[in-house]
Amino acid sequence: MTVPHHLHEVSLEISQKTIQAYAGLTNDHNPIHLNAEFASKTQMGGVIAHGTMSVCLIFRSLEETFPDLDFAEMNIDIKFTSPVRIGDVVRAGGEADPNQPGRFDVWVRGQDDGVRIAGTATVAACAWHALKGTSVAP
Amino acid sequence: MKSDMKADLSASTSSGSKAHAQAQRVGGLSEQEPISLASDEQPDQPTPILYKDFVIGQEMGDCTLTYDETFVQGWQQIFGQTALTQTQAASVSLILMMRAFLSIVSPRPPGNIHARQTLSFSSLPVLGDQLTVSAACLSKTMRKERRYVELGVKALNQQGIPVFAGVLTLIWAA
Repeated sequence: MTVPHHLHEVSLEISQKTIQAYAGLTNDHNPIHLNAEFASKTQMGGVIAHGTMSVCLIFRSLEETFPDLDFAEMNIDIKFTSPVRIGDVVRAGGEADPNQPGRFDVWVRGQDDGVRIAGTATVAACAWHALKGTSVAP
Repeated sequence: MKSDMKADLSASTSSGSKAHAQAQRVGGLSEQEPISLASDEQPDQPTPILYKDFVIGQEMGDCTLTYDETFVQGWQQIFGQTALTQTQAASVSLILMMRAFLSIVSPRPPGNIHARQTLSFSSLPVLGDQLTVSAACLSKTMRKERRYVELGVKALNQQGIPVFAGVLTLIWAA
């Protein structure tokens, strides 16, 4: 089986309503996400979206690309490198690491193509080989 | 790591708008009212947990939350309806992790920033599962006048089976 090198890209428009809805889901009402006046006085310089909201897009990108991939035993390690702002249209995607089967360099970028999140997603070797229809070497 | 990211950013700038147009748009909230979830947000209190209060190695508590339909509906309001069950389960796990952390480490100073996240799934929860998430302080360090706090989180389901473990790296506001 040929495994795609690039993950399917998915995007989401970030609005105040989106941020408010995610704040309700996570119970994260930190004013840096919700209060423009407060946020403007912080090092972020304005309201920022919750970082983990964009991580959900990475999960979706992985499953859209590999519908049969088993998420159990998956690891993610990501850094929130730049803030996501109201009005941003962020997209998530990634590329397979040619040197490590089952590992992907994943990212979330803004409409300016600037990186907002960068890191890796790694699936268990057995899950990866099952997906490819191969067996794991003993 | 930092220089790698800069290189990555500059190398991809030229193809940005084209790539963006090809991305599949998901979700997006309409004018509908967001799903309302119970909030355990406490009113402003005079003594938030400050950087100086974190003790490395200290277990900070745990919180049990149920993976129920309300979270799925709330997630779908933002990200759209989907048959991608693993995406939903992983996303709701992340959401429950945040809710638990915010419940355990409370009250907090306003303005904390999430800088990094690791998360390792052992299994995925299903509707009705009760996840008990525990949190512990792994480290705290000052870097470039920023107060970094690392919190380890672990989640077990109602049968004691591990669901996920991870580390939140936060820049603490005060």
